[in-house]
Amino acid sequence: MSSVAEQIVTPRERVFVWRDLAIPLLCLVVVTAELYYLSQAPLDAIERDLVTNARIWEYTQEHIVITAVIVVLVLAVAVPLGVLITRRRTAWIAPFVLAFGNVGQAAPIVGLIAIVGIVVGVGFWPVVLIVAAFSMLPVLRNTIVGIQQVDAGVIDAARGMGMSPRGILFGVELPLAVPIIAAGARTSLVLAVAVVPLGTDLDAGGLGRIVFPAIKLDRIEALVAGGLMIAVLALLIDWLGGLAQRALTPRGIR
Amino acid sequence: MSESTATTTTEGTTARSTGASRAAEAGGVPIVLDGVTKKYPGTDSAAVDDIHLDIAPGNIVMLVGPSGCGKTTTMRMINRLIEPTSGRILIDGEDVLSLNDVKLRRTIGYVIQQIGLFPHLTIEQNVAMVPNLVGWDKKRTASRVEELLGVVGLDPGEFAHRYPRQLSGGQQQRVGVARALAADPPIMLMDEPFGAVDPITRTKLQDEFLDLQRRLRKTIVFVTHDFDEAVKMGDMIAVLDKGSRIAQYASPEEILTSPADEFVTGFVGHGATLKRLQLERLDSIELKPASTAPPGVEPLPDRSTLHDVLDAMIADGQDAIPVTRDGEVVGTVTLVDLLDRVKELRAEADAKAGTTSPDSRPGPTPGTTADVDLAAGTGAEDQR
Repeated sequence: MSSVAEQIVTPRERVFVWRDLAIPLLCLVVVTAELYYLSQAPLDAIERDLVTNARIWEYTQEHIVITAVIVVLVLAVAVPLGVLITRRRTAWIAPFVLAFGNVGQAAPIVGLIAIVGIVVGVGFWPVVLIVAAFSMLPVLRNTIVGIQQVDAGVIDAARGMGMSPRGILFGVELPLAVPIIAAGARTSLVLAVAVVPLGTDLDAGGLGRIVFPAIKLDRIEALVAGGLMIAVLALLIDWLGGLAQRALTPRGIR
Repeated sequence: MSESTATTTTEGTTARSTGASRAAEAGGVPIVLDGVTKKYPGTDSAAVDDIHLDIAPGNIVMLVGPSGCGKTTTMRMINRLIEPTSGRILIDGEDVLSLNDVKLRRTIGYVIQQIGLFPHLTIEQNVAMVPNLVGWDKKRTASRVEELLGVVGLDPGEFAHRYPRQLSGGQQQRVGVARALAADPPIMLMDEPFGAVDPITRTKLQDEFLDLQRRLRKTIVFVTHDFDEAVKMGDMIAVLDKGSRIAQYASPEEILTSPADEFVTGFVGHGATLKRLQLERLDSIELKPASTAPPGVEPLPDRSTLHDVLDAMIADGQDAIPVTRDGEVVGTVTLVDLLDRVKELRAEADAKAGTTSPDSRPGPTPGTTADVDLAAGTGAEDQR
């Protein structure tokens, strides 16, 4: 232990470095090229109407809003549940919560959407709930792992010096678990971005409104445009998540 | 540490503490364990079985014994990280079981082998933790942190704003000690605090901690499995067998010269006489004139132990070593004088104990302690 600790390291890793601009620049180039291509390509009237700049922009915004709401919901539910599982008094809920998380992810999402559409109805919230259940597991698991991996000696010292259980949770365990919880949140984000289009039939909005009509109408250019925007969105959101992860990670463990 | 009193509290007696007036000047407060037992559900034997221990204020009491003997469990019951099944623990006459456990711990310093610094907080924030918990104002906390970093030998200007991972293991444990001392607790619990650092750093930390303790006079319960550390650090040593049975509770001198039973003899190990030399300082020997010193031999300060002297004689191949006081050569110590002193010590011990000298007792079976270690390597110690 001491031999490792013997070397003096100076953490100088910054939250933001110029290299981080590579991904957004790449996305910008790809989107610009695609939009330029669409403006030049010989499209028929239906296709041209499907991929106007205004539509793409509107559906992208919808997509972002749905994804954001989903991730807020996932964090609000999965982090507290993960914390409860790691508390001795409430550890008994573990099998139930993990079963829920596993089923949520394992259930065939298209079937789930159909059932919810019939039973609950259509619109924004049914889709948000389904996709949230679907992308719950990474955050849940990473919260549990993130808290459990905190060094036992650190917790022992914290208890021994008279920190309360709540003080230890908020002052020690959660801050030290941040990088791992955030990694789970990034996975959930990307999952959500990719799965939201499947809810198009429930009229929740998003870029699925370009992709699915394009499939039905067999318009390849529009399909590629919609798919490309989803991929770019996933990349950008994961990039933002990465920045947030670094910013939220306490300096001493960065 | 050799000037400590050699009072013996035998197992079973629970002498009442002599109380607060002594505590005030001593810095520490007395601790009494009265029939303390810890039994985990589903186990046949108690991890700690009816231990009685009377700890005088301002003393370092070493709990020493093989792995799994319950020494850590015993220590952790004092700040109630482990709840006793039965018995009473009195700190300065007050039963800790009647106190709020979290608040109790803020009045007891806690140092562990794993150190357990908060990696996401700076050194300053780590040391300030308990003062913040007990509600000190910012200014008082800040000046206390600065003072303590100095006390443990870390320059506040250089270290206060660093993070734990930027420190070496030895430096980290200095911070661990500073953090435990932060709110000036009268009691410190230390669980093999210097166990994870290299031998050279360990010796240095031990020496500095003893210097510090000479000033602070805290009441310290110190757990170790290393008998040599117990001899070096302890005012009193409690040698514990399985279930925290106290095989002997006495001063280091007494345990070395008259171990109570086979178990203690086994734990002391070979070379009790040599270890005894660590407790005796050079100034107990009358020196020969300085002129008799052989030329070219590195002198020793008169604060050195007889063990150091013997070591130097063997290392240098000399039977006489010059001695310095405050840097001036004041005389010479010879091997013959050293041996005479050892004979004297043995005679004193025999007179006191009224028994034969330890060397004539049956020696420990080779590997005794190791066997115990293996057999008892599991269990209650690791509970939290």
